[in-house]
Order: sequence, then structure tokens, then C-alpha cells
Amino acid sequence: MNIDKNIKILVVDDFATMRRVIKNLLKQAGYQNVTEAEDGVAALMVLKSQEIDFIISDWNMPNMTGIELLKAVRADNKFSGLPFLMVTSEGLKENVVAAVKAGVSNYVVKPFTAKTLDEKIVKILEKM
Amino acid sequence: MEEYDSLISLTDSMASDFLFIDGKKIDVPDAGKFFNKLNELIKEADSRKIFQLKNVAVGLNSLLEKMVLNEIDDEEAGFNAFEKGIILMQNISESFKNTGGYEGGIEVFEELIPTLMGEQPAAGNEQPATSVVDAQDESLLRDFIIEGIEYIDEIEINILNLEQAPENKDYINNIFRPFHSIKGVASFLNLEQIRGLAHSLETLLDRARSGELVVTSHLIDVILDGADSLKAMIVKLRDDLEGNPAKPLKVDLPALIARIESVSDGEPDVQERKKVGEILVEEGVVTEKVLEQELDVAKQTIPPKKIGEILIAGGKATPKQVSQALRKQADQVMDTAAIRVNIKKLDDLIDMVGEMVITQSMIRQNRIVQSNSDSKLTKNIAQLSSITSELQRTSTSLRMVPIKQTFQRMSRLVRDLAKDAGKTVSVIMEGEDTEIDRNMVDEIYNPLVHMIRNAVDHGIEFPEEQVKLGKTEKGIIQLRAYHRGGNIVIEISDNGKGLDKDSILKKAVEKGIVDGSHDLPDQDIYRLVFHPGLSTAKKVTDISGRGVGMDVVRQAVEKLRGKIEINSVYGKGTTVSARFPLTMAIINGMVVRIGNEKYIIPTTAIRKLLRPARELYNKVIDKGETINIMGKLLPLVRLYNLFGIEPEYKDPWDAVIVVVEGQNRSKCLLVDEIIGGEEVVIKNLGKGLKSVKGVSGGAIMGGGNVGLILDTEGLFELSESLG
Repeated sequence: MNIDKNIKILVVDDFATMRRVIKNLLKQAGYQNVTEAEDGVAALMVLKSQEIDFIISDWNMPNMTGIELLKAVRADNKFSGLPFLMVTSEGLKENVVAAVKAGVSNYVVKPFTAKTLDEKIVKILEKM
Repeated sequence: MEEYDSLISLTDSMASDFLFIDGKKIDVPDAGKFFNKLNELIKEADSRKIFQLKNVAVGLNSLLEKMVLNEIDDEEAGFNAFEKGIILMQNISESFKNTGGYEGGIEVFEELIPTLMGEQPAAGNEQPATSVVDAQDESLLRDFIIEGIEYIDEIEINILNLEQAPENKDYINNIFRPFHSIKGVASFLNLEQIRGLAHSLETLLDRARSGELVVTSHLIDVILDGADSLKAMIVKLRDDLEGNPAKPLKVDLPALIARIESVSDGEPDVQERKKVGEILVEEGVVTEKVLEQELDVAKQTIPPKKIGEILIAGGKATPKQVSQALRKQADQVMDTAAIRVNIKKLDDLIDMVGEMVITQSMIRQNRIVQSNSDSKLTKNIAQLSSITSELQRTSTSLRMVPIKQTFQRMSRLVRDLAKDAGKTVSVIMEGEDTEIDRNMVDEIYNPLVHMIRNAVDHGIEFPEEQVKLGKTEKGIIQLRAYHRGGNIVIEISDNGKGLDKDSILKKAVEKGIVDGSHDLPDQDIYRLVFHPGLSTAKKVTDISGRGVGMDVVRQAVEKLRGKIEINSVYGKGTTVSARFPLTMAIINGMVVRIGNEKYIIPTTAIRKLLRPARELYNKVIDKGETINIMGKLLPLVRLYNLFGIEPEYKDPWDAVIVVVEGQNRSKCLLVDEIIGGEEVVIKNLGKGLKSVKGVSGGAIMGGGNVGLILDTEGLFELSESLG
């Protein structure tokens, strides 16, 4: 299946360098249309003002964590089907299970390659 | 039966969800749906007490977790098992609807689950990826350096907050997060060392966050050291990148990580090993000067040689001496190794040792033993005595801990209180290593808190006033601890305004506490602040100053058989010093006899021992009996009346009077004889006798007799209630 690589992806992470890392990986995988937010609260603002096709969010952030963002997004009818990829760390299995229960589209464990990231995105988009 | 309809619809909907899965793999969003339905089903089954159904649902839930985490090797088998489980649940629900029960078993399914879920290590996408990011991307590295350093600086601020509020999970989180973020990026940038250190620090904080570790100053030290090293490593990265002359990194990473990982609850880690060179100097094998010279030589050799080798090569030490030093170095590690022991076991041990000391002394004082002529037995018994007392000393020392932690809590308290009061105070600690029985630590905490509160609230003045009086703007509170005569003395000094003698005296006269007709020594005036109902604070704050302050402190200290003193210079400051026994397990007492009974009066309560002259005795109708002690009429308490014993003497001028002090009053106890001072091991009286007034415990004395330890305050109340 052909995937539209021009989708608009929102990268949420409080650590600016991490956002750049993910942006770079997305670029390598052919995704150019990326915007950023530094935490869950900022992400919700972006969702209100821009058309977002895909969210990639970190778990651990101040103000509003990744899982809180996920729940807030899923609670909004408009976004209940929005692809949401959670970035987690190794060894935090309970986080993964919690995210799955809250309706995450998939998860990816740090560190990951551009290829892994691309596969995860494609898999999610194929199901749409 | 309709009550099972909801079960039917839940299981059916899971079955239909399952039908629509393409491929033989449950993906994440599907798993999410199944999780939620299973959850609902577990609740429903539980409330209806259908345990077969519940068990299957719980089994499926954990199977699903493993599948989501890619922990199941044979995905297809997992998928098939999941299907079987759903069908089984449908059958159970149907059966309940039709017959109200389910006769079939679930064993087939139950057996299936464990074989699938054998503990496999997490597989899947967690292999470390190589060259995840374009290594050429220097600017990314630069960003990381700048942001990383910023983050670490932030950690330092948050640690200060944490130190003041160790229970605050938000503060722990604020420190956890930067480490976590640094670790994440470092893993992408292949900065393996930085990732490793950040990871171990993150894990440490996670343990603190989950409550597994208590936040102690030791933990904070380790975090700070870790943060420093992390920063040093990132700075080094920057220097390398900018082509600056690389300074060697002074971080011993494996040692640091080992230290971080070895942090356990509140315990300082083992001290560093002595260097071989130091040991050789101590042993007198080489002089310090030789060692220094040889160390310089050692540094210049390429590759660097060990000091031992150099010393042997230079003929400064023999191989045997060096190997002995090495062995000694290894032994030190053994020395400092520690194990954790449950405090209950320790208490039991110390109790039993106490019993043994007593039994031992009973044997020693046994008449037959004493009159024996076997010199070997006499010698052996003497040996036994010395071993038991050594054993007692050692076992008591096991429970001794430095006062340091208490002081650190105090210093945190000072900071908080000062902040609330709008004052600035710095704390100086002295003698933090002074040891005290662990069981005393909690006991002395409350009185110390009161003392600290008084010092901050009434002692230290507001910054502008401190300056006006020629002191530093920041007030100083000094905490000091030292041992004196089997006691630990804790002094709390402030450089605040000091006690105002005139104002205290005026108030005391107003309240009729003293009559003011004759001059009191300064010391006695200061001591008035311990009197109930006397507070010189002009303003009642929520901290202290309700007129109960120092009075309460004194009572609390005395309850612990301690003593409190106060000294002050007006305008310069106040020192309150409290003296506590090192342990509550032993008491210094005066053994007295009434009739055939022996009692122990705590030495700290005794003011005077005397045999009064006949004319000092007074009896006033309705007022009771008194003895004139130095011009004061103190009530006479006939102990034999309270305890119902036939005494040897009934007249005070024949007997002995012990003047004892309780809370804010003194009385005269009438006893037959003073036997002498003795150190006795305290035994609890047990539940049955716990509420007996006037007696605080029992003691088995040297002769094997039991003596009761008198509680003066309780005695006073008892005598007053009897009129």
C-alpha cells in the first residue's frame, strides 16, 4: 500500500534535542512535514489550531505527560481516531500496557532507527 | 436468565472483534479494545462470582500483555490461545444463561497459558540500534550539549528543593525527568557512557519516587555527584568538539555507577579503600617522602606502573611487604562491608544479653559459688563476667547511630521555619558523629523540634534587627553534640536577642511564680522559662509562644530521664542544652529500702538526701505533712502507705528523706534506708502492670532480687489522689 509521506506529524517532547532527533529520523524516512510541541499542554494547543495527521509523543514530560495527552486526545470525539505513537524507554512495560489500554496506536522504544520508526508509522496508517 | 445477558454480549463482542483481525497478529489498537473489554468482563464475573470466567479473563489479560510487549516467541500460538480463550468464555457465559452454572472445566486453557508465557526475555524492537542518527550531524550534538548542561543546572536547583521537602514527589520527578531525557538523546547519539550514567541515576530516582528509597542527604549527595560527573562528561564532549585541548576526564565511571547502584536506604556507602602506598607508609615500610618521589616516577612510566611494582623495582620495599599491604587493603573492604539487620532482631538480642548479664551476676553472687574454694571455678566465673560485660557493651553499640541524621532533619526544619517567619538563618553543626541509641533518636526528636522552634522564633531576630545589633544579617543556629558522663549532650545555640532577665522576672512575679522579694541568681531566672505558664513572646505565632513552649520541652526531656539547662547573654544569644541518657535500656538509679522491699529512684529525679531534724517536720490539719527543706515546705509522701508495706521507721527523723522533683514541684519521699547507687537494666512490667501508677518499670538487681523503678510524677499524683 502506498503511504502518503506528506502527512503532518506532531512531535511532542520536552527535550528540544530529542525533538530534533526524531525530526531527523522522520526526514531520513521521508517525512518532511513535521511540527513540534514541548509538552502535552502545548500539543493540545497545536491540535486546536492546526490540522494534524499523526502524533509522536514522549511519555515523560512536565505539565502534561504523554499518557495524559493520549487520554485527553482520545476523550475528544474529533481526535478519537488520530494516530498516536508513544515513545517509551526500555523496561517500562507497565507504561506500555497503560498506553495500550488508553488507546495508543502503537509504541516505540528508545533508541530506534529511522527504519523502525517508518515501519511503525506505516503499520498504523495502513490500518486507517 | 437475563442477568447473564451482559456477559453474553461482552464475550460475543470480543469474538466478533477477533473475527475481523486480519493476519494472525493482534495489533496495538485491537489489543487496547480487548484490554478494556476483558477488564469489564473481569469485574462482571467477579461480582457474579463466576470464577471460571474470571480466571480465563485474567489469563487472557496477562497473555495479551505479553503479546503487546512482544514477549511471546510463537506469535501464532499466542493468537490461537487467545481465540480459544474467547470461545471458552462464550461457552461459560452461555452455560450460565441456560443452566445457571458451568460444568465443563477450564483446565485445558489454564494449562495452555503458562507454556506460552514461559519467562522469555523481552524481545522485539529493543535491540540497541547502531548509527541511528547521522553521526555527521554535529549541530545535533551541539544542541544536546547546550540543552543537557541547562538541564543539569536545573537539577541542582531542584535538589535544593528536595532537600527541604524530601517527601515531595514532584521534586523527585523534576530531577528524574532531565536524567531521563538526557539518557534518551544520548542513546540516539551513541554516547554510551553518558547514557549509562544517566540511566543509573534515573533508576536511582525511580526507586526514590516509588518509595523504595528514602530521600536522605546521602542519596542527595550521590545524585549531586552523579549530576556533576554527567556535566563533566558533556563538557568534555563540547571541548572535544571544539578542538579544545582535551582535559582528562576525572570521572571514575564504573566506581560512580557502582556507588549509585549500591545506594540503599539511608546508609552511607562504604568508605574508600586506602591506597597501597598509604598502608606501606603506615606500616613504616617507606617514608612519606619516598612514597611521593616514587609516585611521581610511577606517573611518568608508560604504560603507568603500579606503585607496588615501582617500590619493589627500586628496592624500597620487598615483594612480601607489598603483598601484605595488598592483602590488608583487601581486608579493609571486608571490614567495611555491612549487612542490614531487622531492628526487632537487634532489640531482642540486646534484651537477651541484658538478661544474661543479670543471670551471670546472680550466679556470681550465689552463696555457694562465693564460698567455694575451687580456684578454677572462681577464675572461670571472673572470665564469664568480663565476657558478658564486653558482650553487653558490643551489643549495645550495635544499636548506636550517629546523631547526624537528626541534625540534618533539624537543619532542614530551621530553614523551613526561618522562611515562614521571614528570617534568614544558617545552621552550623558540630559533633554530628556523636552516637546515640537508635531507639532514642525518635524520642528526642520532639523536644529538639521545640528547642529549634524557640530558637528560630524567639531567638533569632529579623534581618534588619540582627544588622542593627551589629550581627550578620543571617542569624546563626549552632547544633552541637558530645558525650559527657554516659550521656549525650545536645546544645542548640542561637545568636539572637537572648533572654531578657528583667522581663522574665517581672512576669514571674506578676504571675506569682516567685515572690520577687529576694534577689535570684541569673541562672535561676533563666530557669523560670521552663515554668509552666510563663512565656515572654510578645506575639503568639503558629510556631511557638503559647506559653507552653519551654515547659513542654522540659517535661519531654525529663520523661526521657534527661536534663535541660538554659544559658543566655542578653543581646548576644541563648544556648539551650539538653542531656539525654545514651540508651533507655539502662538506668542510673538510687536503690532504697522500705521494709523488706527495694525500689529504685532514677538519679536524675533526686535533689537531696537527708535525715531531717524533728523541728523541720510540720503537720497542718487539712494541709497534710510537710518537711522544711531550706526554707521551703515540701509535702511528705509516706511511700509505705502508697504501697501498703510495713516500714521499719515511721518517723521522718528516724528514717531517710529523698527529695525528688516531678513536673514543676518537689516532694519528700520517706524511705527506711539508702542502699546505694546502681546501674540497672530496665525490664518492662508487661501489659498487666502497665497502668500501675507510680512505677515505671522493673529491674533485676545484682542479687537477683526484683526492684521496681519509681516514677516520681506518678507517685505525686498517687499521693495527691489519696489526699
